[in-house]
Amino acid sequence: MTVKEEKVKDTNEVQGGAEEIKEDEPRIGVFVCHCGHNIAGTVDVAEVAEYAKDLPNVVKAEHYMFMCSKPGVQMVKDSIKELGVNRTVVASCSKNQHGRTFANAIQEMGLNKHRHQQVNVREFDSWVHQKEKDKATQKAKRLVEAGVNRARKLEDVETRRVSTTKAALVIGAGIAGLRAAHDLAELGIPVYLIERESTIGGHMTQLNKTFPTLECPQCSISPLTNGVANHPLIELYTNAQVKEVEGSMGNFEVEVEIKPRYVKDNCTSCGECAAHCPVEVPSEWDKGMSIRHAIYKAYPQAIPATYVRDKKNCIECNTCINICPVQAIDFSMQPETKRFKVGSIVVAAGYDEYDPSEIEPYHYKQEGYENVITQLQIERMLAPGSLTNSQVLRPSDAKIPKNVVMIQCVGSRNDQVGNQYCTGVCCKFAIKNARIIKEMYPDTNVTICYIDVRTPGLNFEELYKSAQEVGVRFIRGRPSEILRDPIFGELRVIVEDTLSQTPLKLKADLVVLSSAMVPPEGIGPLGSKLHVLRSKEGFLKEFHIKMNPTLSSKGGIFLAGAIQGPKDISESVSHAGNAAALASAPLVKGYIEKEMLVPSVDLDLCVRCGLCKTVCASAAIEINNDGIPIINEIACKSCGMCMPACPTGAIQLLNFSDQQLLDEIIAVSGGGAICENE
Amino acid sequence: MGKEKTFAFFLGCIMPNRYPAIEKATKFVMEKLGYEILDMERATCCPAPGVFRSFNKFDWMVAAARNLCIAEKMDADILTVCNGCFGTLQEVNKHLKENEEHREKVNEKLKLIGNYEFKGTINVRHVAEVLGYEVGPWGIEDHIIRKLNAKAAVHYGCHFLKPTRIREIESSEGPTIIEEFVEVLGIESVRFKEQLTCCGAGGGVKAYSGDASMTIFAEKMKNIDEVKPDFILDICPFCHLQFETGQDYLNKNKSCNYDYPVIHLSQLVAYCMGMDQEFVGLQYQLMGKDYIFGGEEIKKEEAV
Amino acid sequence: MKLSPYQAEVLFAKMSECEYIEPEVLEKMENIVVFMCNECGQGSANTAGVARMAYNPAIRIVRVQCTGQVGPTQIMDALSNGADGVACVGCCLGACHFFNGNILSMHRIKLMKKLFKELGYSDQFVNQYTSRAAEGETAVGDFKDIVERLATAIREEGTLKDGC
Repeated sequence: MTVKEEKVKDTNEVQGGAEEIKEDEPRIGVFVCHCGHNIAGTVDVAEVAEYAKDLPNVVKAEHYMFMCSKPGVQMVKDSIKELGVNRTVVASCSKNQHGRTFANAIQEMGLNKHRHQQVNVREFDSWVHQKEKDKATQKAKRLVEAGVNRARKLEDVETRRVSTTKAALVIGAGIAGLRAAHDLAELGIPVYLIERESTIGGHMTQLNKTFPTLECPQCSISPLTNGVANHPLIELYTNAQVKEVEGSMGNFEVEVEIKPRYVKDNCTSCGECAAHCPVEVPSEWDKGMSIRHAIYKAYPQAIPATYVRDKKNCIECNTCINICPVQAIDFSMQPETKRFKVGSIVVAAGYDEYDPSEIEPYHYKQEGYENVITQLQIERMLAPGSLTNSQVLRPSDAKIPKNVVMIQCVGSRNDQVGNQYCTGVCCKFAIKNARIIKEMYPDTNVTICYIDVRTPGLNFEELYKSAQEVGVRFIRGRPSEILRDPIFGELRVIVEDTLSQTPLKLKADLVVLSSAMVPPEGIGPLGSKLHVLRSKEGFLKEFHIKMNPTLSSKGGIFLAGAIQGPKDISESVSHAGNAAALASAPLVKGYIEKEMLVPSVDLDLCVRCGLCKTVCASAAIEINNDGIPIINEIACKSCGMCMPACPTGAIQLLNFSDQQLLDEIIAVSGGGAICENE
Repeated sequence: MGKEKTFAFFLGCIMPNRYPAIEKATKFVMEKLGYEILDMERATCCPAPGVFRSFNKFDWMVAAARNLCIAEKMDADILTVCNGCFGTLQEVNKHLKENEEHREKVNEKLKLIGNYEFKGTINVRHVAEVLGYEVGPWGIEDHIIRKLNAKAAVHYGCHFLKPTRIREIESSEGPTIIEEFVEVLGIESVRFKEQLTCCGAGGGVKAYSGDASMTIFAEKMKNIDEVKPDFILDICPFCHLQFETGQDYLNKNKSCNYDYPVIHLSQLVAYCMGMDQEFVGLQYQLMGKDYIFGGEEIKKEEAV
Repeated sequence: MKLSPYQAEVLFAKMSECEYIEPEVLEKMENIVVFMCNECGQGSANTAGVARMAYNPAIRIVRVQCTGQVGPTQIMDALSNGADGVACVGCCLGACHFFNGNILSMHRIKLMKKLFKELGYSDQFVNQYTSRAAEGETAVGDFKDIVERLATAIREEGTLKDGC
C-alpha cells in the first residue's frame, strides 16, 4: 500500500534519527523558575540553579522570576542562539500547563520541539512541601538532575504528514448508518455503504410509530433512504459483510463479500415471482408475524426495490424464472468480493432485540404460549399493511385480546441473564404501544408491570401521563412467571404489586415482553476484524464516555448509533452526525499529521517471540513471516506497553527507552549505585 | 462413583416411622432391577434442609457430612427416596467436594465425633432420577408385569430439581422426567394449574406455622381437584405426609371432601413390577383406602 | 489558592487518620520513586499540587506514558540505585487511556511482590495504585499508603540499603 508521506518542514537543522545523536554533543540549558512566591517561597531556586551548573553537559543554568513570561521565554531562545544550547530543561510548573510554551519556543529557534524536558517543581514539589523547605529544595535538585539526565539523550521526533484516502466506509445502513453516510457524502466524500440485510433502514422501518410524537417512521426515514440510494457519492451494497480490514487511520483497505441476490438489477419489483412461489416461511423482517416466500421483498417500500431469493428455502422449481416478465432472475449468480480503499470507517451495526427464550419462566416461543410476544412483534402487528390489518390479535386464535399485560425489563436490569444495564428506551416504547392499544380498544385492559418507569427527556413525562389518562394500568412489580391453565390454555401473569404488597395473578390474553437492546449478532467477529475493543456488555467501546463517544479504541474507526450502547432514534442520529464529522476531518483536510513517537526494534536482540504483538492494545504491531515485528507507525499510540513485554529489551519506545528512563530514575533515587552489578 | 449397581439406602426420618411400605417397595424394585441395597448403620436425620440449615448452616453441613462418610466407608452411592434428604445430602456432597476451605473445617469437626473424614468419593442419587434416567422407560419395560390405565396428578416437590445449577437433573420450569417414565406403566399425567408449586410442608413452614402450610396446601388441592385424577403421585415422604394429613385436615376443618389416594413412585413401580397390592400399604394410609390399582397383566412372550 | 473550609476539613481528617510512623522509620525513607502515568497518574498529582495537599517529600515522581510501560527493569533500576520503595500509580480501572495498561501493570506488580517474597524480602517495597486526575486526594491517599506500607516493610526487614 503506497502512501504519500512527507516530513513536516519545521526543522532546518536536525532531521532526526538515532545516528545523528552520537555526532552532536548535548548542550543543555537549565532554567529554574521562581513563579513569584509559588516556587521560590519554598524551594531555594538559586541553590538549585547553582547545583544544575555543575551537572555534566550543562552549559547554562539560570533562575528567573517568571519563565513563562515574554522575557523568560526569550532567555531560553537566546541561549539557543548564543550558546548553541540544543536541549532545554525548564523547572517550573507542569508539562500540561507550560510544557508546550517552551516546546514551541525552541521549535521557533529551529530545534525539534521534543528536545525540551519540562520538570515540575511546583505542583510536584513547592506547593506540596510548603512546611519542609530543606527537603523541598533537596527534592527539587533531584528532579532537576533527573530532567537534565533525561534531556541529555532526547532525540528528535518527526511529525509525519500522511495523506489520506478521500473515501469512507459505513458499516450498517440503519438510521445511524444512513445519517452518517449522508452527512459524509454532503461533505464531498465518496461513501461505500454496506448493509448485511437485503434492505436498508434497519429496525426503524419495523416500527409502527415513533415516540413521543407518534409519527410514522417509514415516512420520516423515507427521504433519507431515498436520498442515500440516489446520492451520486454513495455506493450502496446490500447483502454485504466485511471480510477483512487492513491498514490504519487515513488509509484502510477493506475486503467486503457481497452475497448474491439471484435477481438482477433490471427487476421492476412487479411481485409476480413472489405471488407464484410455492414456498412459505415466516418473515424475519416481520418478526414471524407474517409469511414470506422464498423469493421476496421484505416489505413494500423496501430499498433496494429489487427482490431477493432465499437460497436455503428455495426448492428450485424455477416458477419465478419462468414467470418474470423481464427475465431478471438468475440462479447462477455468485458471491462477489470487493476491495475498498477508504480513509475512515464508521461502524453503525446497530442492535438486536434480546431473545427472551432464555428466561424460562416467561415461556417465550414454547408450545402453548403463542400469546407471549415481544414489543417488536406488536409493532409489526400494529403497523400499516400488516397481516392483521393493523389490528391487535392474539396469535393463538386471532381474537382481540381483552387483557393485555406488558412486562418491562426483560433481558435488561437482570443479573441472572447477565445484562445489568437499563436501555433507557423500553419504558418509552412500552408506554407508547400501551397507549395506542388502549385508544384502539377502549374495552381492553392494558397493564404494564414495571420496576421503575424511566421516561426522561422533553415530552416523555407528558407521554407517560397521557397513557395514564387514557386508562393504562401500571403495576410496580417484576412478574415471576407466566402460568398457563392446563385445561383452558389461559395465561396468568404472576406478579406482586409491591406498592400495595399484594400478590396478583393477572389474567392475560396477550403478554407483551419489553425486550432489551443487545449487541447485534456477529459483533464479535466484526470487532476483531476491525481490532476495536468491546465493553463487557458486548457493545463496541467508545474512546471516552464523555468527551469522545463516537471514536472507537482504534484511530480512524468511528462508532455511530446503538452499536456503542442502547439509544433511541434521536440519540442515534446525533451520535451518527458526530461520528461523520470526526470521520470526515482527516479526509477533508487531506492529510493526518502524527508525531512519530514510535518504538523501534533492535533486530540483534529480538528473539522473534511475538510477545510485543500480544500486548499492543492498538493492534499496531504485526509479526511478519520471519518473526520480526513490524510497527504500524500511524496506528501506534505511543503507550510503551510493548517494552516490558519484550524479554530481551529489543523493542524500545523513542525517547522513553529503558536507558533513558534509567537515567531519570538514577537521579530521582538519590543517585549512585549500591550494588556493583547494576 | 461408588461400587457399580450398589446403593447405600438412606432412610431418612418420615419413611421408616410413618410409611414403611415405601421402604419395602423401594427395596423390592431395586433388587428386582439387579441393584444391591445395603443398610446404613448409624445414619441419622439428614438433617432437614429447611429447619436445620436456616439455624446453623455449618453444623448442618457437619451432620450431613457424617451421613455421607458412612456411605463412603461402604463404598456405595447413597440412594434416597425423599426430596428433603436428597436436597441436603446432594447439596452438601457437591459443596464439600468443591470448597476446600469448608471441607477442612468440616473434617476438623468430624474428627471430634468419631472416625469420620469426608473424602468426596461417592454420589447421592434419588430414586426418581435413578428410575427416570438410569433405568429409564426403556429399561423398566421388560420388568413390568402389570400395566395400569390411570390418571395421576404428578407432584415433583421442591428439592428434587432445584436449584438447577446444583442438582443438574433437569430444568425446574418444565420437567418431564417422571411423566415420561410413568407413561410406560400406563399412567397418564394430568396437568393442573400451578403444578410446580410447593406442597406447603417443607422449608420449616409446617413446623413454624401450620396455618400457612395448610393455606398453601388448600390452594394446591383445589387445583388438583379440578382435574380429578385417580391418585396423586409424589416422590417425597414429606410431601406424602402433607398430602395425606392435609386432605384429612381440610375434610375436617374446611368442609372439603377429598379422598385422593397418595402414592409414592416406589409404591407404584413396585406394584407394576409384581408386588401384591396389600404390600403397597394403602390400607394403612389415611386417604384412598379403597382404591384398587387394577391394571392388566402383561403376558411375557417366551424367548424362542 | 486557599483551601476551602470543606477541603481543609477533609484533608485534616485524612491526615489525622494517618497511621503513626515512628520518626526513626520515617527518617529512613529518603527516596520513594513513584511512576505516574501521563493521564490520570500525574494528573491527580497535579491536582493535589494545585490544592496544596501536603505529603511526604521523599516521594519523587517519574512520568511515564502509561503504567503498562513500567516493567521489572524500571522497578529494579529504581531499587538498586538508592530508592527505598517503588510504586506505580495509574488510571482507575476502566479509564486507562490505552485501555488495559493499568491492568497489565497490576498483574506485573503482583508478580513482583511474589518474587520479593520468594527472595526473602517484604512484599511491601513495591505497590500499584490507581488515581483519578480530577481528584487530588486520590493521589495523596496513594502516597500515604505507600509510606505506610514502606514503614511496615522497614520495620520488618530494614531498608533495602541496609539489607541488600
